[in-house]
Amino acid sequence: MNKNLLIEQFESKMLSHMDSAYNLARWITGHDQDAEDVVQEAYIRAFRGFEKYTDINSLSWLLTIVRNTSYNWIKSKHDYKHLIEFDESVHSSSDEPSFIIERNQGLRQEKILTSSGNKDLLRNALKDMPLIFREVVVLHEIEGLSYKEIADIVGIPVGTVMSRLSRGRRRLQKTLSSRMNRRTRGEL
Amino acid sequence: MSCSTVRGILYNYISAYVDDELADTDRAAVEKHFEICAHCANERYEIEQMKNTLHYEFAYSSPYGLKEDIKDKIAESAEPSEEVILEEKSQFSWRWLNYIIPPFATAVAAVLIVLAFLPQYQLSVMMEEEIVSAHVRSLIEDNLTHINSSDTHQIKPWFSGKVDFAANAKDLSKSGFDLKGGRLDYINKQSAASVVYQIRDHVINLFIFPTTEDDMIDVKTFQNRGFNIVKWTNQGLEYCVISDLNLTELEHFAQLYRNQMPLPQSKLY
Repeated sequence: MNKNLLIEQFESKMLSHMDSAYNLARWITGHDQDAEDVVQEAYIRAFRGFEKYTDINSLSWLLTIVRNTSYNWIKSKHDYKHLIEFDESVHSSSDEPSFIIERNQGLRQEKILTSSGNKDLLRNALKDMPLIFREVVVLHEIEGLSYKEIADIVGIPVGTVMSRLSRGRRRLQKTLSSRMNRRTRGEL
Repeated sequence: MSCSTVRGILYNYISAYVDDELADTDRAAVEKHFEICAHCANERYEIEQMKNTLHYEFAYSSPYGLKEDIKDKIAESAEPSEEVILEEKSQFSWRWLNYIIPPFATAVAAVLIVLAFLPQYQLSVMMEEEIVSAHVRSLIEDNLTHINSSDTHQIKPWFSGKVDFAANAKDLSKSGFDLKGGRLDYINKQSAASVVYQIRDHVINLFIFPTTEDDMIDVKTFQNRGFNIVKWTNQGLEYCVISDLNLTELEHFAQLYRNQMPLPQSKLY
């Protein structure tokens, strides 16, 4: 295929998913700069494989590559605490993400946690949650992907997506309420 | 529907209800339950509230300029690299080098490959020795298990707090492999979890410890001092099964254990 035509097709099909790609990489790696590097690398990998994989769900395909690239990234940095389950009460950092732009806000509905302090607690709770739950929650709740799409991306059965999601939610609720209590008592 | 069904551990109907992934009949049943149970109805409300907050407020947008960076990188990777161009230019004046460099480079590459893999080979041999020693020690010191249990739900939490990874004990008793318990060990200069199984009179030690190696889907088998060893890696953990059991059954054991864990997915690129 003509090279320029290939680039053009790739860009028109794949660049629209860039926000989703960045969001996933950002939540997995936990850092702005790492997420940028991961997304760039993932796009190059996707471009190399693009000719062979034109007829599939392009978003799922790109996010699969982004997820693999993020995992390799973490491994290459020997940042194993991300990959291993750890105690939430021990690990409670308070540094804020440097910017969150509310991409989905145009469609905002009414029922949201109202106090901004609680939102910060929830954000940190999600950030501290073990990766196997965090990635499923991010893909489903933030990106709005179906159980089936997530199953394809993560490489697990649909039933496992379902149970990880509900367990992830329960963990988030628990962490959130325990941190809200601690804050009330002045410990946070 | 009862509360315990609605909030099932394996299938949480409230979660599936909120996600709109329930069949109509189940949906109606769950709605009926919400009418009579304020507790579950409240949980539904909380999940929905959290879902909305996550969806509308927690999405990171890609930073300004990332799109241009990606476009540049793609254009770059579509162009032939500078080395290739240089090589093409130099082909005429330095043609005689073409006859000398390849054999020389091959020799250098061969030496480098040997040097690169030698330490790794030695390392894996040392590790194998350590595994055998740990296995033998567990048999002779009357020290097979630190926790005696055939209940997977007792063993996994016992390990948490003692090792910094999730050591899964799985119930394989249907296939004849009885779970005996768990033990802490020390392998490759780090804490290792050992899950102990038994079939007939054969004790099986399954050692689990962190590794920096990539996932290895194919299992490796080898024999050492009359013991059979099967090992593989998955998601940053190395799994090493050792026993005096025959290799066929030991591989079967590894297969059963692995079938109950998520395998690393195949890469698409």
